[in-house]
Amino acid sequence: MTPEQPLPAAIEPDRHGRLQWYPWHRHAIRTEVERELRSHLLLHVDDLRAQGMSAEDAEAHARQQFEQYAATLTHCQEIRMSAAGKARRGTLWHEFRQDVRFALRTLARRPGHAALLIGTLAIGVGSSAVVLQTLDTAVLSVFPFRRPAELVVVEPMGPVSQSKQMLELLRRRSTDFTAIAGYSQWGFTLTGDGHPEEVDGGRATANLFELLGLEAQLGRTFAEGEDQPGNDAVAVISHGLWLRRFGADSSVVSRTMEIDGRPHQVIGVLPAATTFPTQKTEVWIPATIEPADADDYSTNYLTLVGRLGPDATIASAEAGVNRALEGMVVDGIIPSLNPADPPPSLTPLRTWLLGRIRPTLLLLFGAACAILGLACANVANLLHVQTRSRAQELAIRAALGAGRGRLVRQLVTESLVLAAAAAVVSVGLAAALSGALVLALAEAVVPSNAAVLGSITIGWIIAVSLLIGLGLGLYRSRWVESELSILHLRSGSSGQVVGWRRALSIIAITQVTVAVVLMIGAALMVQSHRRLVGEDPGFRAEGVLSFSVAPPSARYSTDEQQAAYHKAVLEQLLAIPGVTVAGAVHLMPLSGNNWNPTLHIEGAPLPEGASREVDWRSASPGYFETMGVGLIRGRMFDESDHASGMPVAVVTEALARRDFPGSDPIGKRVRTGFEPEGQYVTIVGVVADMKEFTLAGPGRPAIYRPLGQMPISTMAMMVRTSQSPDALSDAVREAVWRVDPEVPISNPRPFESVVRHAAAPQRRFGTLLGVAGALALVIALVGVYGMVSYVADQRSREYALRKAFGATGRDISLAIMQWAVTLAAAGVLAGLVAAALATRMLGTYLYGIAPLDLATFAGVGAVMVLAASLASVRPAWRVARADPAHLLRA
Amino acid sequence: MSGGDIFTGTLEMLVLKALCWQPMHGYGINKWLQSHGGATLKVNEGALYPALQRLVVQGYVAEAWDRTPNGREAKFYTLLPPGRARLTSEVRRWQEHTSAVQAVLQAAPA
Repeated sequence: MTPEQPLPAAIEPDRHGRLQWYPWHRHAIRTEVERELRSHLLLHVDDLRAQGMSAEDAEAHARQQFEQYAATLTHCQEIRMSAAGKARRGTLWHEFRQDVRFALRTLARRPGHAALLIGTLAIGVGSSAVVLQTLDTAVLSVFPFRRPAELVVVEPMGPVSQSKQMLELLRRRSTDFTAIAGYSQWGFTLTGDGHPEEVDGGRATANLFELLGLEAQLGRTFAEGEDQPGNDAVAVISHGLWLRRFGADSSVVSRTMEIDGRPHQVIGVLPAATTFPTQKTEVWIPATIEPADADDYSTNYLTLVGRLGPDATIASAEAGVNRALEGMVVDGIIPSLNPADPPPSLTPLRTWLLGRIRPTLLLLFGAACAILGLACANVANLLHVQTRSRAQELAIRAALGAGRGRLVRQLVTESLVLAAAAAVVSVGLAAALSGALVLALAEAVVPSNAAVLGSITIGWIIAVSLLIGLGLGLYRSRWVESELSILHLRSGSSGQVVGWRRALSIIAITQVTVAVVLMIGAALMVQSHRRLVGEDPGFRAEGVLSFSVAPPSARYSTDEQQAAYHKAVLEQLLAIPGVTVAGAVHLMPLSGNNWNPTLHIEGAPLPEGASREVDWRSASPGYFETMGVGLIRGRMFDESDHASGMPVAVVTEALARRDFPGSDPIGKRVRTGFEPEGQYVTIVGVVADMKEFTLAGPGRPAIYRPLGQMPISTMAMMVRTSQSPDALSDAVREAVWRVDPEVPISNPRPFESVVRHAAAPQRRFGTLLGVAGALALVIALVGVYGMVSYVADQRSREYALRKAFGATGRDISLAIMQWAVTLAAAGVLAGLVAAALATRMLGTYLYGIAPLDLATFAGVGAVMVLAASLASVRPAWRVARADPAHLLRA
Repeated sequence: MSGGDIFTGTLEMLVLKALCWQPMHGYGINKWLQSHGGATLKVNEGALYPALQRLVVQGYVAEAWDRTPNGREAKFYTLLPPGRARLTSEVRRWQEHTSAVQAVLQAAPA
């Protein structure tokens, strides 16, 4: 047997007289148990020998008596190991709770500081979460198609819509697709059940839904053959339309709708949140082509969607389409291919539908992550001073025997507590702001439930917060180690401290720069918006209600019918109590639509190469009065300006100034391409300028023709009332339907909201930039604050010496603030330069203000410097106040 | 008591009893039990030592290495106050249990 071993060393019994094992003592446990069992054998041998047995016999007998030696060894080990595991877990949990309590107490002791830390982190995490949430709902999810990766939009001749014939040809001649379908977007008039209304919808080939993998939630989608003439009186409606128009009636599948005057049977309802191709697509009818409709451009504007076959790639399919086209040329089906025409191109459906918004969102996400990084740097910096003094305490504890792992765990737990608090705030921030972001990106295809935080976003917040907590904790524990080594080596500031300070300066300056750029952008946009909306538009929008009427061409095909209809409607409108005056114009003001032909003046031909464009409108009597536009000379339209009267026109002052400088335009004869060939019209009146087409720029040269002489079917109606315009909506609708109940009317809106909407891009940009600028400002100020705290702390010894030599607290704090202001000024300077380059990108959105507006630049710069110096007051004051003796001793 | 069956529980109770008056090592406990209970109570080492580990882990006994009178090193177990209390309650339970069993075994047909 082995010789005896000395008494134990490594593990001491605890106060219960128990050897305290931990799971990593596996080997020691085994040794211990072995030792005990061996001692048992030895004692047994002693007894046997005392009874007279020989040594060898005794050993053999003892061994034999002890059955299952190995199994007993293992069993004892297992018991110990399991207890060790439990002990370890218990200790860990206990220490964790200790650390959490300590962390919360530390935060509570300095609530302002804690709010700063948590707020900064929350800004970073929250802003990235907001963008991610929008990305999630707009880009990543809500694609209810089957195997969407196989779906491509086919553009055989570049970005031009295709005819149904082309679709058939490609179907037959191209082998790379398992199916090709087509659709076009169209506006429909719904009549019959319920109020007439205009909705956005689409026409689709019978196989479109099947190709996409879109199934109806009720009923079915189109079946094969339903896009042939005779079978095509069917329609598929959206969930929204089903709710709104049919009250979610489950028997809707047998009802009939009148679409553009023709009855269609509703055969199915699409699921909610089907945003194909846009949010607002509400009804689908088959894209029929009838022989007589061969020219009907509504069926010749198909977007082709194909599903790639199993072996096809986009490249191979593009080549295949090219070959098919060439084949068509050879067979004489299409004329030759012009080499200057764009080649066939296939785009993944997802990219095609969301192409516009994805890059913006990805950019925003990148920016938000950058903000997140900056926020983390700020927080690490803010914690720096705190960590350093803690580091001394922790290092001493380590030297006294607390495990290093324990201390790291404590720091990590504290940081996790901080990060968890920030996560909670971020969730709130994200929920609040993501709705705003959706509104700001309103023109994109974003479903309306984007404000509800999805699991991806929550997951992101949790994951990022965990990472931040861990990262911060580990970073801080590095300081413990460096303090340990400092204790050992008794050295002063090590090189890495100086390096860190330089890095911090750069970070702080960068934050200031970014904030300056964003703030300047926001300021320019806000001023643009104010100027746009603030300038006198030439009309008076308050008290005006606006809407459009669209008498269907089936029943209003002649000029007389249209003119009579609009006259009747205006009469009805004028009869409404509270209406002072009403008028019509054929293009809704500020709608972005414009007809601007060239103006020809009798007797004053245009010189070669010159242009003389005017905005052309057809307007009723009462239009100018309703808009509050004054008459300068001559007269406005009246009842005498009908079809058989003298052809007349009214022009704006701008036209008079430009085309008849110094002379009186009244009586002059002019014409445009909209007038019948050879017919000149006489100018009978000049009205004041009005910003009718766009708010940007002064009033434009415009010519108006009377509605009676140039009727257009769709007209915008403007009604002036002495009451609030909203109150008149119902009365207006009734008045229109009294003339003809089957004519749809667009939603009446106060004209003021139309005007506000026209300035929307500026407002949106202003808001986005403003929010981003505000966030960047907060982060930059936190950065400056943290930076100054850190450096002031680093240099505290130096300041203490200075004080000892007679410098006052004020001198010190002034010195610190001076340094901080220099830092900020550097950032501001860089920011101004960067902004000078960047504002050029705002380009067309700027109104009434130059991209390099001196006042704005100077103002923002001054504000930034002031804010930065304010941010540096507190840390400077703290150091200045500190007792020099205390500082020197530290 | 720990252990799945009555036997394990009983064994631990006996071990605690053995340690009532003085600390003992495992081999000694076995000898003591045999000397007081006869050969019927010879305990398998494969049961005794795990029982001792369990008692330590549960905090009823303390352990320490020491020398026997003969100079051999051995691990001695000492009864702790919680172990003493445990012994008392286990003994009471055991007595109640055996009385009940006895009563059943002596039952006459009803």
